[in-house]
Amino acid sequence: MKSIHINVDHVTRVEGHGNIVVNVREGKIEECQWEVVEAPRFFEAFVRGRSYLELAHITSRICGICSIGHTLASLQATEAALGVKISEQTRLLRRILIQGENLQSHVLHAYFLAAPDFVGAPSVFPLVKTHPDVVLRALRLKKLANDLCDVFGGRTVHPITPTVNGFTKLPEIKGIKAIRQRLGEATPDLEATLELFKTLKIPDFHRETEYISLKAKEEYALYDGVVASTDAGTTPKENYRNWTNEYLVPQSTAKYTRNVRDSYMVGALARFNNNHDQLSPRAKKVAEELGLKAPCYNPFMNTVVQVVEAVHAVDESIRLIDELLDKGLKEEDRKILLKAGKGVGAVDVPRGILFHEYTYDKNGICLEANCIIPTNQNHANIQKDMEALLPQILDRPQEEIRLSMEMLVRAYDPCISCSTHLLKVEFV
Amino acid sequence: MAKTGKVAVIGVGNLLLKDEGVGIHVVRELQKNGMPERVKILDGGLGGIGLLDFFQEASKVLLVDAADMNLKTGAVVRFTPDEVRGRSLSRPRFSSHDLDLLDVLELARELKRCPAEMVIIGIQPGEISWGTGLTPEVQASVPRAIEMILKEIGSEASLRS
Repeated sequence: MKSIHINVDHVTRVEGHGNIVVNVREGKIEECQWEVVEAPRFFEAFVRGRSYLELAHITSRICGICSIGHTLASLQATEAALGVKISEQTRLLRRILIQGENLQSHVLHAYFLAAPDFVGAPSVFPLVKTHPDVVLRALRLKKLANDLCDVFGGRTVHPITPTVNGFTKLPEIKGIKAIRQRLGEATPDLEATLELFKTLKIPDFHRETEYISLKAKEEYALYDGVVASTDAGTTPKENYRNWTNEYLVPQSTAKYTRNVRDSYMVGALARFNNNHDQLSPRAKKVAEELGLKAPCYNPFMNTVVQVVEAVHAVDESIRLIDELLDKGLKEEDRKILLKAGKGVGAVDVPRGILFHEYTYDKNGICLEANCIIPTNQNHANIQKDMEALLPQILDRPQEEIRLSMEMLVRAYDPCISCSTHLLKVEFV
Repeated sequence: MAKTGKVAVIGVGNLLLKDEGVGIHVVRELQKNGMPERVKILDGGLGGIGLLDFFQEASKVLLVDAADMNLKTGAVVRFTPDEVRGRSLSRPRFSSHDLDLLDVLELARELKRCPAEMVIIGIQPGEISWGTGLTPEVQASVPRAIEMILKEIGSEASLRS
């Protein structure tokens, strides 16, 4: 009968801070915890009293990786509260931006954070010596995505130009065409990415859960849509609180959420399960070659779906940019009338569905804010997955169990510092 | 990398941490001078992997940065990466943000992205704490750093007063 004590203090290669605690005494599992220990951020508190023009800039700082997602969810919420309907041009530009962010984030996660586990490296840096071509390719793809975000958002991280009802400065056609060309030339790098990920052995673990994401009629939804669940159909985004149901647990400074079951999953795998039919033809083929089939209940496949979505992001960006170049860009009047109101924004960012809700007074000053982050919606599911996985691998060596648990957490690509709201609670 | 005759002068640093930003102050001052076509003056921000892109075309790269060399505040020293003791790229680290300039240069070397000639202009900082602006000794070092850079460029540059 085995005793195992695993204490991973601050899991590496995830964004933010979380611990894995496993205690098994003579074959009996006494403890199996995913502890979120990240300090709270207080964004929802300190945006009170700020102007409607500031909210997107402030909340973009919730994250360095999905700052575009936060910006867009924030703008949506403000525009909903103020009764603003954006133009088709603005909508098109924002949808291009969010594809850029998805590409950038997924390349970062798949190559730098997840892949090292599969090739037995502690981080990406040793891979520089053993697999320089792979590292260079990842940097190339990331740069393409960063440059796209720079052209369309004015800056790679924390975009400047998106604002309420439009853009403070439209992207230049010359820059757009240069990005369009580079997107077309990315095919060899995408093919090499597919070949690499085909060789990785994904752990065989399945646990059926509820999957929640956006859903839209006209495209694989990232920017806008209704909220869809594999268990519960769809609901308008304004109804998000009835589906997220945040609650506290002692071992986490981030809240948990639940809907139909004890937990649900958001992110690339959730989007795939809900909307796989709407992927680009090339992305669908990549999914097939990577052995992905909906519905997929293996959380480790989340990283694999990210590779599929990276291909889709390139294809979608090309499609949308071609549409934009065809229509041309024109300066638009961004004037709006201020009024009191409440509004919800929902965007599916790299890690999952993100909600921002704001209440404004008649002068456009924020009275209240609520942000529900994808990773905090995943914490309960991570916990449940760990509880299900551990008994299945108990007979393995301790180091292997530890690595499997870490890989499970990494598969979610958690952005933990985005997800914490609450004061740290002493856990005994 | 073959010699192309092109030079990149890259300032790195954090403008919000007083003397830590001296690299940026230097390149901003340098940009006021006329430079020949083959010389690019760049704001490298906080450094990091993004610097690799700046190395693309240049066969000579000059990096300007605050450097703790255990010297008097404001000291300006020209050195090359092999003249200093670096830490291994594969060392255990707390985060993948924990990359210093020497790490980036080693990364560039491993990925064969290193320019033929790499020179660092290090300036000993005085104060690294929240604030903008340089301490007087470091402010006084800026013209000396620029003089050293112009010498490195082999400058045909005209100095606009």
